[in-house]
Amino acid sequence: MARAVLFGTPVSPGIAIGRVRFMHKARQDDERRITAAEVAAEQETLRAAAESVRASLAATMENVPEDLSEYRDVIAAQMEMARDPKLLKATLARIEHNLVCAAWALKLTVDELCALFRSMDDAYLRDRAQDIRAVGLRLREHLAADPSRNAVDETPGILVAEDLSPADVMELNLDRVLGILTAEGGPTSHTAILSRGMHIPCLAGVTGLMDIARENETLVVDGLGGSVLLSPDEADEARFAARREEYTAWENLTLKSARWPAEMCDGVRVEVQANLEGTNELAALAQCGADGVGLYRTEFAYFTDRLPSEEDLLAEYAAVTQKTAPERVVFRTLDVGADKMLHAQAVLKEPNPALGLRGIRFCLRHQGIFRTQLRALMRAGAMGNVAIMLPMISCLDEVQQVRRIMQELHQELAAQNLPHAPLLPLGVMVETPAAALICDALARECDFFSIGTNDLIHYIMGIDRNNRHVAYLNEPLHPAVVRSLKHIIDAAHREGIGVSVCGELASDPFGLALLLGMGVDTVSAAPRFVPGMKHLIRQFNAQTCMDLANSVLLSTDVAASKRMVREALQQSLGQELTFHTTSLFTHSHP
Amino acid sequence: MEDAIEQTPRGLAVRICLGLRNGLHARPAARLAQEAQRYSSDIQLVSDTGEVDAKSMLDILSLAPPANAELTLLAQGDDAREALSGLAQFLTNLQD
Repeated sequence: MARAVLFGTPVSPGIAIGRVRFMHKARQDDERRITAAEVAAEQETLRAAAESVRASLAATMENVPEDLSEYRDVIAAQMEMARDPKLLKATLARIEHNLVCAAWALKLTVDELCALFRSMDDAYLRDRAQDIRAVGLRLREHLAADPSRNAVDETPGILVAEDLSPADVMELNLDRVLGILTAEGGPTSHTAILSRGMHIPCLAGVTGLMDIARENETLVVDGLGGSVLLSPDEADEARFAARREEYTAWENLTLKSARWPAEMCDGVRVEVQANLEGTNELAALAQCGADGVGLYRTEFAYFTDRLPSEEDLLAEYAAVTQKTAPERVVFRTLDVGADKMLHAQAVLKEPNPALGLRGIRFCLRHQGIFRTQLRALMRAGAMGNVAIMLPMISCLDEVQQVRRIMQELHQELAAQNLPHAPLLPLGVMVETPAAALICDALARECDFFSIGTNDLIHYIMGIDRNNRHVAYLNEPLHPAVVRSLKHIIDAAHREGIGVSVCGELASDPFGLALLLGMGVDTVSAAPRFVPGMKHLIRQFNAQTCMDLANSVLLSTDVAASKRMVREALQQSLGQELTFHTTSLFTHSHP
Repeated sequence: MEDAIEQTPRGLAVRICLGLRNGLHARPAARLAQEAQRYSSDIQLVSDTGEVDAKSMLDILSLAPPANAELTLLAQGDDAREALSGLAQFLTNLQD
C-alpha cells in the first residue's frame, strides 16, 4: 500500500501512530461457495455463532456502569435480535438454497433486513437498521473466529470500524486503543463522546476507510487536522511523533492552568463556559475549568419514545445545577422542530424544518410540553444558579409570552407549595436575522443575549445546512455576518446586558480573537475546547483584538479579512495555532 | 383470559388491545418475542396491516402496531392454549 491520505471529521483531538486493528473481523474472503455436503456443517456454525454472540452480549451487559442504563436496553434488544427467527431462519435457508457459506448468507440477509427497515416511514424504525447491522457484524465476527485468531493481539493499536455500537464500546479494552477511526458517525456519536472522555484521538466519518485500510498496517491518525496517513515513511513517523510530543505537552499545560481565570495581557477578563449535551458530560465539566455552563442542551431527554415527565426533567436539571453551583447554568429550552420529535412527526410533516415550527415557535404552540419543562427549570432554580435561554426567537412578543407563562407557573408552584425560583434570568438566542435587526428592543425585554453563530450564519446567508452545494457560503467572515455580530453586541451593551457566544466560532482561535475584539463578554464551547481557549485568551491583547475587529469590520473582501486575522494571530501565537481546530481556513495537508 | 380464547379455522385465537402509549417499540417487542419463544406452538400476531411471527422481534417491529391497536394472537400447536393465555396476559400487563 502506497502512502496515502484519507480525511474525516476530528471528534477527539490528538495524534496517534500505530497498527490497524479491525473491530469487526469480517473480511472479504469469508465469502465462499460451498457444496451440498457442507450445508449442515455451515448451518451448525451459524447456530453456534448465534449462541456465542448471545453469551458474550450477556457478559458485556454485566459490565455496563449504572449511569449508562440506556446502553443496557440497546444490548438487550441486540441479544434478542441475535436469535431472531426472521434473521436466523432466512440465513439458514439461504445457506441451503444458494449454497454459500454462513458468513456470506448472513451478510445478504442482514443487508436485506436493513434495507427493509431503512425504507420504513417511522424514523424510530429506520434507526433500528443500525442495530440489525451491529448484530450482523457481531455474528460474522464470531463466524470468522477460528482458534488461531482467538489469541488476540495484545499490542496497542488503532481501532478501525465501520461504526461502533454501545456494546462494542463497552467491550473495548481502552488501554490498548491508541486511536479510533470509524467510517460512519459524527461528533455526537457514542464513540466520539467516549474517546473524548478517555483522551483517545478519534476521527469519524472517514471516507473510504473500510476499502483501503488493511489489518496490521501502520497508520497515523491526526485528530487535530482531521486526516489519516496510511503507510507513512520513517520521516513521516518521526515528524508526527514529534508533533504528538508537542501536542501532549501543550495539552497538559492547558489542563494544568485550566482553573486560572481567562484574562488577556492587558487585564480584560473573559468568562469561558462549557456547552453540555447531557448529564453524561458533567464529569468533563469539573476538569475543564469552565466558569459555569453557557449552554445546556435540553433536547436529549425528548429523543426517547415517550415524553419525559416533570420529575424526570427535574432530576436531570437538579443534577446539573447542583454540580455546577455556585457557577451559573444556562438551560436552553427545548430546541427541536417536528423533524426531531418522534411523536409530532406523524402530525406535522414539514418540508423545510429549519425554517419551520421549531425552538420557541414549537414550544409556544405545544404549551403543555413547554410548561412541563419550565416548571422543572423553575424548581431546579431553587437549588443553584439557573438561567433560561429561549431559542429561535424572532419577535418581541415571544419573549413577553414566555414571561407571562412563567408568571402563571410561579403562582401554580406557589399554590402547590413546591420550592422554586420565581424570577430566573431570561435570555434569548440571537440566531435569526429578525432577532438581529430588533436586538435593541429585545435587549430591553430580557436579561442576556447569546449568539448562536452557526444558525445565525445559515439564516443570514440563506443556506440550508444539509446542502453541501452551498456549504461554501458558510462564511463567518462575510461582512454581513461580521456587521450583524457587531450590531447585536453593541445593542446589548447599550442596554446594559451581557452577550455570550455559544457557536462554533467561539472555539475557533481566529473567531475567538474577532469576537473578543468586538466586545463579547462570555464565550462558551464544548468542554474539550475550554482549557485551550483559556490558554489562548491569556496570550491575547484586548487592544490588538479590537484593532483586528475594526479592520475586519471595515473590510468588504472576505479574502482580505481572512488574511488579516491570519496574520494578526500568527504574529502573536505562531506554533500554538496548530494545536487548535479551526474551520475558517481549509487545512493544507502534507 | 381463558374464556376470551376462541377456536377458529386457523387454530386458537385471542383478541387484545395494546395498552402501550407508543406502540410496540424495540424494548416491548424484544420482550414479547422472548416470551413467545417459551412455547413450542406456532404463534402469529395479526393486525389490520399484516400478520407476523410473534417469536421474531424484527417481525413484530416491522408490523409497527400503533398505540391502542386491536391485535389478534393466533396459535397452533400442543401448548397453543397456554401460549395464548400467557401472551395475552403479558401484552395486557405490558407497561411503557
